[in-house]
Amino acid sequence: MMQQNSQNENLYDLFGALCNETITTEQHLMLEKILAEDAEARRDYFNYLELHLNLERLHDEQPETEIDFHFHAQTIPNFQEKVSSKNTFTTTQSLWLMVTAICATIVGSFLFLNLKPSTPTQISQVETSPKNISVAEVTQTAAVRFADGAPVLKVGSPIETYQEYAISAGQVQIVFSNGAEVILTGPAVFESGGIEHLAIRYGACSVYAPEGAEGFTVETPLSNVVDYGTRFSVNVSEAGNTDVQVIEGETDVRPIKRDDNSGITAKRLTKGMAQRLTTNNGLVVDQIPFDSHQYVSTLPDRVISYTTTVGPRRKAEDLTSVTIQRGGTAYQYAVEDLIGIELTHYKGSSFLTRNDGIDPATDGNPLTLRRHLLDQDRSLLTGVVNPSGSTTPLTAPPVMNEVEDPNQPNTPGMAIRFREPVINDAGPDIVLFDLQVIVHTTAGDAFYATPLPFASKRKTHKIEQFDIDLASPEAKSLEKFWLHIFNNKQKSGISSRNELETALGNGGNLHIVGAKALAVGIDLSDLGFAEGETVEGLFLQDAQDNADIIDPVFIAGLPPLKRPKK
Amino acid sequence: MSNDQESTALPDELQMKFLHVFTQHRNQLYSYIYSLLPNRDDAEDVFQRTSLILWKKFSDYDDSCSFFSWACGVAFYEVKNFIRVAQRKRLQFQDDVIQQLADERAEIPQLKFNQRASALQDCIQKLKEKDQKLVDQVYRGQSPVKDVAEATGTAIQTLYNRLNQIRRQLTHCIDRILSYTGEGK
Repeated sequence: MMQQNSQNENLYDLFGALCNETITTEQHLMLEKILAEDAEARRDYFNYLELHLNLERLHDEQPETEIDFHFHAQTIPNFQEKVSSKNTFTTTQSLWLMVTAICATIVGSFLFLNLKPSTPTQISQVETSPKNISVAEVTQTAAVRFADGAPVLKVGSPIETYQEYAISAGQVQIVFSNGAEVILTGPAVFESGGIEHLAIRYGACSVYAPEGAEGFTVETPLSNVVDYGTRFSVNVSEAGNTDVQVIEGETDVRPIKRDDNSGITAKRLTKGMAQRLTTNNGLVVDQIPFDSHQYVSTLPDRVISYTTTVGPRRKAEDLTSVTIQRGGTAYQYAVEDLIGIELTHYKGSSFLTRNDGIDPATDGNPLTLRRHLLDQDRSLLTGVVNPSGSTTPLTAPPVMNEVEDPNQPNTPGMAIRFREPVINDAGPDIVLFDLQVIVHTTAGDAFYATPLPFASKRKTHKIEQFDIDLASPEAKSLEKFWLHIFNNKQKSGISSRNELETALGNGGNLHIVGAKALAVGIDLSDLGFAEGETVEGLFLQDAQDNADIIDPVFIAGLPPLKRPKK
Repeated sequence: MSNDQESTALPDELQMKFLHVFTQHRNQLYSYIYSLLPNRDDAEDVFQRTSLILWKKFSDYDDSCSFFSWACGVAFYEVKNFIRVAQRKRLQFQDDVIQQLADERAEIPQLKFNQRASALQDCIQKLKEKDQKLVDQVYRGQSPVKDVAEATGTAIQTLYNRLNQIRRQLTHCIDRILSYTGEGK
């Protein structure tokens, strides 16, 4: 083991010297030999180099010097001159120039605009008490709310010993380092004393203790529930009364003795058994009917979390991946693996651009269009937003003329077409991100989704609650953006996709109030599709239940699952 | 050069498509090249050459195949050309090792690296304050380590050692986070 550690030390020293560009000939030969012979070393090598580059990329959005990223350059040769004349540029800057120059010949790209110098923000340090040790980690949350003053937990947060946590609603899944998985359903109050211990003061928890996690103990005010490789649920009332249900395997329920003469002893429960512990002038243990529904095996299918690039203020900008639970299993999708969309109809009032405020319609490049703010970029700051809507769902095919016919007005709302049909598979099939100003509705702005082409056998689905809403710990704060409004004075907006590209905007305003990116998964089953059926597009309408209107900034279809369907 | 410029013009639709796929894969492509030529100047040089070739040859690209695989093929030969022309001015791996690295690097799903990049953000926050500051100076400020050493009155090798330790610490932290989620290395 010591020799193995020493080899690893040596290998990492070589990686370090390589990245520091201080590697000697002898070290280089040694590294080459190891890489040629050892597959594990090659894997570590790739990971280490990627880490080195990622450390730089994390800071890519924070250039130190002003670089002119306006898109005057029209040719690649111009770009080459620019690079060669500035050979002191760092890799990052040159990479930006490379990409930017290519993009400049193509579009006045809205993808790369947020590059003005900014005040560097120091990375904050997380203070941890030396007495508290992390014994588990939060792996999922669903619609979770935290009690006032309680620590906020998000995916990846450590669970520290002797720290009390309290959720007022929703669910949290935590996984202990011995492999025990626990799902807590709010309201719940809990605390851990070590890797094999969880104290439930109040609320419901479901425990799965796989092989290796035997002995995991759930402590309640009246008992210790000791696992022997099993699945069980524990439900503690506010008064401390405890219900235990065993779904699989065996569990010992050991009453906490307050009176040595009580005569109450530990009882082993097996599959299908249930017990209630209460107090009535002493501890009382009763058998109760088994109820398998008390056990929660998975959190609901939903959008679990997403990752983004970070901007100058270390807030989210461009989507990089999204993790979605489908049919009980979590899948992480890189953004490039999602099914893109085309905006095919729009009747509404606004669009969003990045912090530079550049309107694609007035940037001098005919190839950049306003609709691309939604359908051709991955930015969560930009989109074609504030579509009109209806208080009732669609009952007839929407009118979607490219130029509005006054005799047959276009239907309020917006339509998208997927770049390839989206298949109804397990769980959500479509993901929609909404930019939500932090003072607006916590649940997200309600909207209707109707499948296209319109068919009476399909259903319009009203979405009133986002999976990741404003209160979700997974909702990321966004960088600043600009809001552009059409016909603001008349409040009339525009009526067609043609007008979206041609109508005069108000020039835009920097939006001062902060916003977060919310996300929701849409299951085609809710729109009347059988498993395996496909949808071509969607018609979206704000539900007009309040003054706030939905702001879609990214929509995509999910690829079908590879496993065979049941 | 101007003729070249004309000959490189792509139809509008292809231009948009190139922008789309190149933007998606540029970091991935740079990482691939850097893993074969782990020197900044060299990797950047080859990345630029490769990007221009991809642009010029994009009309040959068959979009039923992976863009990244196609780009890796182009990049691999640019790496080999670079080494041949540069005549080993710098330390470089032998051809058979480069071939082995190229084959394996191109096969690793990008998702694995995305997961590691995501975990990195959390791990940085767990570093000690002075280590965060050093990372900040070197990676954000892009100050040569020599300048940081002079400014702080620290021996340059001490800083190199510290950076090695930080990167190792971050590697362990990332591995630990991914092992929690069952992703492993």
